[in-house]
Formats: sequence, structure tokens, C-alpha cells
Amino acid sequence: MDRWKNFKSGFLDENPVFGLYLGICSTLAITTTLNSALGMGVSVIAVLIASNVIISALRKIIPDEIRIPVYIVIIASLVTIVEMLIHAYSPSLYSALGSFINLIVVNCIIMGRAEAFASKNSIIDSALDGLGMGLGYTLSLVTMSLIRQIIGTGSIGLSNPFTDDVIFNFQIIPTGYEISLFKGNVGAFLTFAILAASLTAYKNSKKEAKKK
Amino acid sequence: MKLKYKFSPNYHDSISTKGIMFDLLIGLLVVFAASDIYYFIAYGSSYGIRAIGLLISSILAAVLTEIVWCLVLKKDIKKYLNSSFPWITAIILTLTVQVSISYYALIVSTIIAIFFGKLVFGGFGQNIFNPAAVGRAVVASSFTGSVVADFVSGATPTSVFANEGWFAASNSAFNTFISKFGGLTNLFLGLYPGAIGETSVLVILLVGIFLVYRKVIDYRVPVIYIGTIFITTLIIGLMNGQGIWYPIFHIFTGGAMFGAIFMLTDPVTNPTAIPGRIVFAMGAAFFTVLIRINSNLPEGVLYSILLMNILTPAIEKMFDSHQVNSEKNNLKKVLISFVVGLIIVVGMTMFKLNYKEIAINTSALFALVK
Repeated sequence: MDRWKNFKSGFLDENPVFGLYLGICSTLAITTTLNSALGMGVSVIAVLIASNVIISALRKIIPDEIRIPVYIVIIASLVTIVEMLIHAYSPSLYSALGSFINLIVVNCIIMGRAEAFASKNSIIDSALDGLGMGLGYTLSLVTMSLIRQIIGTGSIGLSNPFTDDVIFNFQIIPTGYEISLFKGNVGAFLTFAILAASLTAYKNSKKEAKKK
Repeated sequence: MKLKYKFSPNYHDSISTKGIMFDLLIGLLVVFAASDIYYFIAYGSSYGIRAIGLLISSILAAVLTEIVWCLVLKKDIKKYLNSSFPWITAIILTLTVQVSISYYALIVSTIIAIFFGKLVFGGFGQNIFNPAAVGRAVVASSFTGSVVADFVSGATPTSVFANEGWFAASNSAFNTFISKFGGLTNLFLGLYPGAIGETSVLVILLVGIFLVYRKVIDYRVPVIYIGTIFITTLIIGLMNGQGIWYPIFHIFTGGAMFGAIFMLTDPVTNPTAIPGRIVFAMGAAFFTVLIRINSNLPEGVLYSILLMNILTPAIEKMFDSHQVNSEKNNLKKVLISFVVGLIIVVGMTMFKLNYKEIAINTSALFALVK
């Protein structure tokens, strides 16, 4: 049951973005469309699981003094692999995400989980933790991008990243009524603030209910 | 000008927050009524009715936002509204937009102004930014295209002059330009297209004098603000071969006068120390001139107010000392800030780059490289 709890905590209680405030830079930058949010989320999940597994497997070999450089080498190699894969198979996603794929290396979630979890726990636990945290990150990205895309552009759509075929595209707010503020940086900060505040409010209410 | 500090037991003052806000409300309504009468006479009843409709919808949106906030936080609605004054923000916001704005744009901007500009910071008295300015910034960034086609507001003197780069080619060119709007006297009276409440310098000045007399606003802020704009633009105008009309036009056009009387004097977002207020107004004036002349935005008043709101805590810290004992020191600080600001603004406008020319040059360079 402990594993399940660990896995689950990444979604709400220890949500990396809105609960722990990790990896905010990429969150603010790439949540303009659902497509890039999902692409980023999947890449981070892949890197996070792989890096957690490798670091957990090597945790007894890595000398304590130089652990951070070792982690960075492992994570950077994984990110380079992911970047090359995206560049090869999904050029549209590659151009949409831009330099933020490379910046996964310095995404605090990955370093944070390597340091706080993978270096102390077994391989399976670390893999599950990576999946849970990665899904939590993806969930936050998707929530933010949904709000921003719907309010900012009035429509919501998803297309296949490999072939660029449109899977679905709905117009929710009629043209002329969208608030373009939400497409820009200001909208990113506003959306982030609302979501982080509501998560905190939810956590506080849960804590108070527990007290009673 | 006195730089003395007013000591803090304000509880025994004859002026209460409620009284101040009531006087401000009357002043704002007078400005609105004057411009609405002008709309009725000059453009027909549909314009006048539309302006009233915009005002009512904005006030309703503001009040409803606060009521929902009270319901969510389980507060006493009547008590909260009585000490929060959402209608002031709504009226100021309505006065700064043009009559052609769509109802939707104004309502959404009001809600964002009240919620993000005021309520999330803790309500009235706690906000960092002037909420009306936040709302106006939302209109400027999101709803420039959201206008109703039936109501043509036309080109304003500010937008026309901004297109010219804020400098007239010659005095006669300026004369032909300003005669389209009825000359500088008309600019003073406010008989030209523009934002609902920002056009008439005369009415705003009269209301401002009333508010100063009632001790609602601090006279130093608007006087210093307008004075600094005048001096700065006078120097810039002389250096660029513009006539004496140049500083006068800068003061009369756009939201300068309205911002000076109604937005910069907001007691919540002002510094409390009097030398701080002087620096605050000076800084806003410098930013206004700089944004007008050097950026590609049409008007600088709004963003200058928001920028100075950000700097308010820093200004507060600058004059954080015993106010009576350090009067001389404070005067020195004020003078130094004035001189430094003047040099920066005049210097930056002197080296105003011609963006178009540079764009052509770089493309030519790229062609060479290829």
C-alpha cells in the first residue's frame, strides 16, 4: 500500500508544480497549447522514469561526494536522446517546444526526485515515483494549457504530433469573446496563481477536516 | 512647498474613508455627466445612452464580483461592500475607455481589475496596483479590437500624434493637425473624440480643485506630475524645434490630466511620506513622457502609473526616516531624483532611434550575407 500512496502523492498532495513549485519555468512557457503541454509532459515522464531507474540502480556505486555531477551526466544523456527522438519523429512538436526540451536537464523535478527519492530507494519504487511525479507534472501542464487555450483562443484542439493530423478541434468561446491576455505571459502567471492557490486551499481544508 | 509629515493618529480626523470616497464618487460622476451631456448634444442620444449603459454594466460587474467573493469566503456582504467601494474602480475604469468599447470587454476587464487587482491582495487598502489601471491595462492588451462597429469614436489627437512619432514636422503642420480637433482650446474644453472621461481638461481641473478643497486628494501629486511633464516636454520640444504648444499639448491630450487627478492620487498605492509622493509623481511624469515619445504604445499615462505603483515600496524605503529632522536631507533626495530623471528622459528622447530605418538596414545586411 505504501507504493500506491507514494505514486498517488504526485498528483495532488505533492504535485510537483502547484504543490512543490518545481519546474515552473517550463510550465509557464509552454502551456499555450494542449499539444505542446502533452508533448512536454510525455518527454518529462520518459526522462524522469529512466533517470530514476538508472540512478537508483547505480546508487550504491556512485560516490557521495560527486553525486550531483553524475546525476547531471545521466540526465543530460537521457534528455539528449529524447530531444533527438522528438526532432526525428515529430518536427512540429520540436519547433513548438524549442529550447525547452533541452531545458528538461535543469528541470528541478528531475534533479529533485533523483536527490530526494531515487538515491535512497529501490529500482521499482523509483520507477513508480518517476511515473507518479511525471503524471502529476503532465496533469498540471494539461490543466493550465486547457484553461489558457480555451480562454485565450476560444477553441481547444489536439493534433497527432507525428503526422500533424487534427484529432479534434472544438470552438468553445465564440470569436470576439476570447480574452487574448491568457495567451501571453500575464495569463500564464494568473492561471498558475489561481491553480496554486486553489490547491493550497484544498489542502488546508483537508487538514482542518482531519483536525476535527 | 512644505515637506512636513502628518502624524499618524488619524482616527480623530474629521475626514473618514467613507467621506473621502463619497466626495470622490461625486467628483467622478460630475466628470461622467459632463462628458455624457457632450455625447448627447454632439453625437446623438444613442451615444449618450450607451455611455450610461457602459457605466452601469461596469458597476454591476464590480459589485457582483465582490458579492461572489464574500459568498465564497463567507463574509458579511453589506459590511464588506461598505468598506470596499468597488464602484469607484468601476467608474474610473469606465471613464478611461472609449464609448465604442463592447460591453463584454468592459465587464471582463472590470472583473479582472476587481479580482486580480484588488481582492486577491486582501481587498481595499491592501492592493499594490491601482485596480482601475489594472483593468485599463487588460483592455489595452486584450480588447483593442473588441469595439462595436456602430459607434465610431474616430481617431483621437493622441493616436494621430503618436503615429507621427510625437513630433510635428513644423509648427504649421501642427496647426493643421490640431485644427482638425478644433485647436488647443477645444482640447482644453474636451470637445473631441477620446476616452469617455479623459477629454475635458476644464471639467477635470474643476473637480480636482473641489477634491483638493475637500482634502480628498493630495494637491502635490497632480501639481508635481503635470509640472514635471510640462518642464520635461518643454526642454524636449525646444531641443527638437517644437513650439511652446508642445508641452501644452502633452498636458491636454490623452489621460494625463485624468490620471493626475484620479489615478495617481489613489491613497492606497501612493507612498505615505510627502517627499515620497513628490518623487512618485515625478517618476510617473518621466515614465509618461518616455513611453509616449520613445515606445510604440499610443499613450504612456496608464503604464507609468502601474510602473510607479511597483516602485512605491522602494520610494517608501528611500524616505524611511524621521520626517521632521531629515527635511533638508529629503529635499536633497527629491532634487537629485528630479535632475537624474530629467537627464535620463531628455537624453533617451534625444537618441530616439528610427526603427523603420534600422529594419530596412538589417534586411539589407541579411541579403548581403546570403
